[in-house]
Amino acid sequence: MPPPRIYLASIFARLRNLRSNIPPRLSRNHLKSAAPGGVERNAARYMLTVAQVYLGFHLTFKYFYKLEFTSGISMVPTIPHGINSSPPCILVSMLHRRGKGVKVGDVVVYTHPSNQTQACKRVIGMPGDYVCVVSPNREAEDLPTAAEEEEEDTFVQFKEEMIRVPEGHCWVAGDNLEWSRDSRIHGAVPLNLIRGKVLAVCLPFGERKWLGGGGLREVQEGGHELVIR
Amino acid sequence: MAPLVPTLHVSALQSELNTLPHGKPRSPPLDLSQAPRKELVQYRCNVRAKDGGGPPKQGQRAVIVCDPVVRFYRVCQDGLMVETTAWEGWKDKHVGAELGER
Repeated sequence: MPPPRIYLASIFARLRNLRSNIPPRLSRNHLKSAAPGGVERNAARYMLTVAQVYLGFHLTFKYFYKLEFTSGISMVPTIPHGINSSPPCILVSMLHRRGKGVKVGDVVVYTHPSNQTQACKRVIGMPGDYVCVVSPNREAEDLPTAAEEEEEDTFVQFKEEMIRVPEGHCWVAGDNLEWSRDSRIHGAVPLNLIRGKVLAVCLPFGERKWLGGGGLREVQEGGHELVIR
Repeated sequence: MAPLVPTLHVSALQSELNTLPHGKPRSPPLDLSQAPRKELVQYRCNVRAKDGGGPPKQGQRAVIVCDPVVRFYRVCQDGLMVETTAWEGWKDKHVGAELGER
């Protein structure tokens, strides 16, 4: 016996029946037609607004711009240490996450490759660039005594050796070379760990400045001045 | 963890730059001394007594003094950046010695 023939029209007719039995969806038009000032209407609107605000904040902070507080002395004098004052606040552009558009001289925020904390340093070399080998930073036990001050110290000396930054990585160093734990210790940083580029220092207000242009500039004749804080 | 990277002496920098990854010489060859030079200023900061001199003693007022450390770069073609802080000094010494020999 041949199988019974099923016509498409009959399927559509059944679906149309089914659809007419489903109550209308919870849409705005539907809410408008409901009793004005109803509890359901207010609750739905409230939840919708909360969701929109949450999504807006999430997208802005995750993919566009973010204000972050920092601590530490590794970027003095570019970013203040904030030890005896309020912590400094920086504006970070997440548009540069994963090293997009980052150049040598930019200040970036990245996840530390060893201990997963957040760090903020200056980019010294991008993939394929050559950077100098610099002797490491001081640690707390290396605090200089008055006698040692006179001697030539071994910290932050440029050696006659070079490193080629591996592909997909960058080389970072804090502006306070003597007191910064950076690529001299943990090696090259994968570009994927870069969370964003620092555009500005916002707080403390007296030391506000733009950093977006990067630190690289034409060679200036004459010496550079001491910075005293 | 970051990959281990070999170091090379500054005297080998020029020849390393002019060798492509597959071993062939770069054409036209790069000349570092002809490339435009840029600088990046970093610092080494330490606490000093406000009146000048070395580290502050007990009861002395202290300030943070940051000595500038200048890094030099040569911007080569295709945006390749080569940090030449050590190379500039080495080149001056090397070229000076060569001229002295002549």
